[in-house]
Amino acid sequence: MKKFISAALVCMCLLQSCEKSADNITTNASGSGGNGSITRFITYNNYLYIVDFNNLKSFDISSPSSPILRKTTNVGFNIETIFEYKGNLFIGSNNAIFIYGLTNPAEPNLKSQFNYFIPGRDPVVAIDSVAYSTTRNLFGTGGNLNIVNIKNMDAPIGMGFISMASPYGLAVNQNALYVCNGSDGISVFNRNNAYMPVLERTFNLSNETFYDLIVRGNLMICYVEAGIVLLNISNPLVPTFISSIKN
Amino acid sequence: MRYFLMCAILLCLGACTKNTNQLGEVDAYVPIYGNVGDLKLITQQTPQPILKGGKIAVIGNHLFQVESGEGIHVIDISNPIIPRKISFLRIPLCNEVTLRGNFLYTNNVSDLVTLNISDINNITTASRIINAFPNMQTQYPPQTNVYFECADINKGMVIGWELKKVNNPKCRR
Repeated sequence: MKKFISAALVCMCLLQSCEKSADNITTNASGSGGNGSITRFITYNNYLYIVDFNNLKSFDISSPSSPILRKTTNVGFNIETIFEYKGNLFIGSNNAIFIYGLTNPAEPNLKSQFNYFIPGRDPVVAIDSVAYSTTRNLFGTGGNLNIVNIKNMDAPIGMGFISMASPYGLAVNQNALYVCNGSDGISVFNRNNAYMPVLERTFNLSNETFYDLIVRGNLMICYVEAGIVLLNISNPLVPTFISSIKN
Repeated sequence: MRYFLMCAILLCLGACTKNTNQLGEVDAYVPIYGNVGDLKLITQQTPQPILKGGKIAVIGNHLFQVESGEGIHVIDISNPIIPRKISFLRIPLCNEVTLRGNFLYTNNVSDLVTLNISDINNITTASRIINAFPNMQTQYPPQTNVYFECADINKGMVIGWELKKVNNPKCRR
């Protein structure tokens, strides 16, 4: 019986934590811009990848002024986000995460797919051999921060999840993991142990609802309800307010 | 007896389903239908208020924030202490933004549009792929955990959503 319960728990973790995807948290030298973690458009090398509700489209942007559609790949249903990491695309739908390889950048090939135990929406980011994702429950309130071991992209392993009030976009900055938690601010996790992030503190501003963010050097750019908030993250675990644009 | 129990259970289930459908008059989003013709004009305007701020992307000293369904705010963050809105790109039904070098990629209605941003004060349309994503039109409101009146494709293209009192809305997300 004990064995069964353990197995069930492991399965739940696997199902739960394998999750959705999003996009570039990094800004790189190749001239790509940085996106928030919630996006349907990303650029990677000479390609623009776009997900609509069902498909992944690969546009050749070798000539960046005039994209050329190379391939439309049917992926699934209710797709919402796309994220690139180490030449792999993580595509998030409400029910599953799909990992596509880019051996041929024009024609992404499906590597693996995972179905969620509890459907939800929102993105994933990846660094080294760990992916963090959030799922916000489709109905009702609450959601989870999920932790996934992606050492093997063909077989990601769920490492567990942390319940949150209303998790949206997220980003990694060195030993810090930031998760926008709606009107509860930004949850700052210490990820010294990458697979077991620990809540270090919460950055909160009264009357602000945090949805997504971009890390850019020592600057954190947050998208809040009706505006932008800029934070100083020269100490990654202690974000401090710089300025905002409201309305 | 077994049949009776099954029938009773089925009846209960039926009743429950029916009850949840009887919402009465509640807050729900209602589609605003529009004409595609005038939706494909992209213009650079003076800064506009951020009302329904959306997705963000950054390159160099410039931050771009989608105004959901309306366009993109262009913001100078070269001095993070004083971020400054430079202009507003009016791009009807825009929801997405990403960047590569001097080019910005976004959606205008269901077209993929490439904008040349090399001169930030004179952003121009470089190319357009018509109907690149036909099924990315706004079939539901951007808000979540809300009721809405299901869009009817026979009434035209959905160009926005407004909150109204609706009797038993059929759709929810």
